Amino acid sequence: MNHFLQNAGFELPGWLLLLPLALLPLLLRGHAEFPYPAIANLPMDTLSLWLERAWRACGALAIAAIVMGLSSPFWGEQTIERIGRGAHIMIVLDRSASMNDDFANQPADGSASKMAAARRVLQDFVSKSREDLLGMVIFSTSPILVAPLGGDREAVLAALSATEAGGMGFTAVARGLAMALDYYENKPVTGARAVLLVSDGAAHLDSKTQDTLRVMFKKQGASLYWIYLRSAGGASLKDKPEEGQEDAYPEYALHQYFASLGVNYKAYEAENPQAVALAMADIAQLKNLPVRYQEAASRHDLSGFFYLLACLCSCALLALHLTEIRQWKVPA
Amino acid sequence: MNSTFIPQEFHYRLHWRARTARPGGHPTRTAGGAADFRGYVPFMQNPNPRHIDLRASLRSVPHQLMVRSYHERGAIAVVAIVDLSASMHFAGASEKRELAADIAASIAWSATRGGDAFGLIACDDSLRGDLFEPLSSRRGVAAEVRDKLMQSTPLAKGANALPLAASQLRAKRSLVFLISDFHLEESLITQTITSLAAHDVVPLVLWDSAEYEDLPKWGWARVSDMETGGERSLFLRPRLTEQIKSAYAERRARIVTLCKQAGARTPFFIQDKFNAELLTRHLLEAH
Repeated sequence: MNHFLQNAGFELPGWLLLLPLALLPLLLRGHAEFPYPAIANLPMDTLSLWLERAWRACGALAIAAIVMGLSSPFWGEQTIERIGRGAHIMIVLDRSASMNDDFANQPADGSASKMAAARRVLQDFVSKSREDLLGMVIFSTSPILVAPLGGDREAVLAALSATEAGGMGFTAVARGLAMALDYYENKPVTGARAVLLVSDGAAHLDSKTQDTLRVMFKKQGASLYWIYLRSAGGASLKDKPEEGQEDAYPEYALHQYFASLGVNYKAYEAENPQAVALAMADIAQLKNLPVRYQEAASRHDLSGFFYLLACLCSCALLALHLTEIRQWKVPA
Repeated sequence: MNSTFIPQEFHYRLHWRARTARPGGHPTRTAGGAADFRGYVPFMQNPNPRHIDLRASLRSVPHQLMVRSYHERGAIAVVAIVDLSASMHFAGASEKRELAADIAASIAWSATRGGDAFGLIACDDSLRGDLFEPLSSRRGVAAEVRDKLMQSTPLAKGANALPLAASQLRAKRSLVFLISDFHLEESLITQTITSLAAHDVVPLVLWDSAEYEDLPKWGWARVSDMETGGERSLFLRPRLTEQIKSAYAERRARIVTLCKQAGARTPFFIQDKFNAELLTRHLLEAH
């Protein structure tokens, strides 16, 4: 009951000032009466007594219910615990010029750019993940929003197709991630959040950007999966660079930074299209962790109920009115 | 309001001897006349040679001349006390006030026709001086009384002055008709009749069939008391109408008991219409 009251309220409480009007039927004596010489001679009749009381109560209730109805009461806005099944995935795709290059290990049956491999695998992934919400951001020199987080797969697929045009510019990883994380803002956590970073290189992040990203990841509680498409001759994430050479290997620094974020992080180092496919399969497994979350159930408008009550009371009043005797004297 | 006065005459008989010197039609205690035989008295007590009874004289020991003595017949005062409380203004099958006026006029008519004097006292919460009619034997008093009562305006709700009406009567025993609906408190009924103990009181109870018999069969009605202003809700249905009827039957028996206990005659119940013949029968039969 307490819980019920906590969640109840009025949209237009000003109307409640009219509530004292409900006392009118209880106090007023304006109804038709027949003069009678001596009511003391009349027997006390319980049914009649209660009928009179019911009549007054119905009148009061009808007015009260109309006033309540006008003040638009609601009940609800309660939170319901749900278990989310799908994931919310923001795909952050690198479209820098280097993505047009081949993988480190050249496949035997011709050339496949990293972008093409990534596109194929991502298209496959997007088509299969029915339960998920997907969004996509591509970045090169600056990030571009392709599709906000939602169920619109067509937009994502179309964006992936559009990457055939070829990449250009540099690698602004931080701004791409920040934009992706922005789309989690003010969204209910109904599933695991995952940022899927697909890139072939990295950029150096200054400490301010690092802090900002760290805060954003913490706040949104998103996991990070990095599919690192290693270029031919690119450095591996596992190999620690030599002392004093760290600046030459921004990938390694980024990897270290991501690992220090404190969120779920996993890096996949893909050197060929098969490795990318394997990484995606792995991610598809990981992202489906069930998530408990609180969802606000939409509140119920109770004014309809009060109007119904008023209507019923009015019907009862009408019925009583119809039974009223118009003429006391029976015409001879 | 049709004020044409159609007199209805009824007859009444006393079962007591009046103290009066005025000649009239009722037995009195006064010696004289030649109608009611009273007994034999010595000649010197009633020296009327026309009433000498030889047989009684011969029967007397020691012998002396005896004469028959008689009671005089005399006129009495007939007074109508009318209750003018709010409930007496009820209009159902008939208008109660009109009915009361008719009855009062009929009493006046019958009294003056019989040579008796008639007087009217009307009461609500106070004695209604404007409606007071002193004792008189005028011929036109009946119509006057009727007009007076018909034109009266209601001034008060109750009938608390009824016991005071006795103060307006003369000390000699009179015939008093108490016209009321008797929707009064029992103590007031008893008090009123007790205050009239010196007189011969005939309660006339005016009830209307719309009060308790010709009720609507079905339906919901609110009634308000004409005197107290109280309210009552009535969902009329056969069971309740039966209850109301039986309540009135009980009330009727109660009124009869109260009146007789206080020393009045058996009340005469008048419903909707005044029938002088029935009243005559009632007055000649009941005591």
